[in-house]
Amino acid sequence: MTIKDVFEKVSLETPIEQRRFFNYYNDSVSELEGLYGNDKKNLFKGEPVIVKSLSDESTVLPLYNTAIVDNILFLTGLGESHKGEFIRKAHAVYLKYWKDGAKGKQVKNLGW
Amino acid sequence: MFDSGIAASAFVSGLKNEIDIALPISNKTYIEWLNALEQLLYTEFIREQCKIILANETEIDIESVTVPAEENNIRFEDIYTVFVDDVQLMKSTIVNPDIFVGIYYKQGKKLCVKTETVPEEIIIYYFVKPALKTVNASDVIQTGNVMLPYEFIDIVGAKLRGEAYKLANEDANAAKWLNDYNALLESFKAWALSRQSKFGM
Repeated sequence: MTIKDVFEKVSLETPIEQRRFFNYYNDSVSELEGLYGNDKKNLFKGEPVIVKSLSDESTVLPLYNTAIVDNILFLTGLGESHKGEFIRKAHAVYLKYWKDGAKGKQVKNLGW
Repeated sequence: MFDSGIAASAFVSGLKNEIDIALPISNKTYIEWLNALEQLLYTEFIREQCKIILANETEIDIESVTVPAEENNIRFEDIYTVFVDDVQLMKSTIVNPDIFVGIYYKQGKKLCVKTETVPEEIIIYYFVKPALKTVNASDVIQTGNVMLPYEFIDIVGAKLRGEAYKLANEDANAAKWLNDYNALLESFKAWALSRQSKFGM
């Protein structure tokens, strides 16, 4: 999902200026970084970037964008339920990437 | 823009024949009421958008911008949004250009933009309004149609009758027609709302 796709999904719900959208998008990515930033490989492909244009490429892994849409809708004032959805979807996506990354790896017995 | 196809002069003439008051009311007064109503309906309910592209300027005398003949001049308040070279600007105040870029604001009658680079072109999206109808020195109504959907032409009739009776102190008739106008206005609002876009700004 590109930045333009995210913008389209948000625009389907509410009219929003581009600058407000970019700020909310970047804020949402920062929130994700706050939640899962210790495990960057399951959040970003490459280094985080600040989005400033619809043609920019986000480095957030693509499945997080549905969660980001919810957070932007929350930030535009469309209700608390979107915040809950953001957290739920982000966590599900994080677990998916974590599991995908863990496939084939053995968990070391820590001895307890 | 909507065009009923009915000339304002013919419409007012028909109303004047029908309204039963002793007080003579000039065409100019009827046209002022008609203009005020049209401007209100276009600004508040119809909100049809148009765009105009200007060359690289950072201060634009917005009321002097040339628009098609059937349109009224643009006021700053009619601006919906502004793009500069594909970047959408945010509406701001005169306080902010020293702090932020990527904004537009009102300074006197001018539209000013503050951007990171000198803009190549400025695209202004605005709410269109019909040109004001006029009367000449002899109180003859000049050309121009009633610019509303034909099915809502009764709004204009009710409003103008109501105002005429009100001016003549015929309160019962004025109340009747202005109530009718308010009811028609509600229908028109619902009609316009159901036709608004459902996607994007």
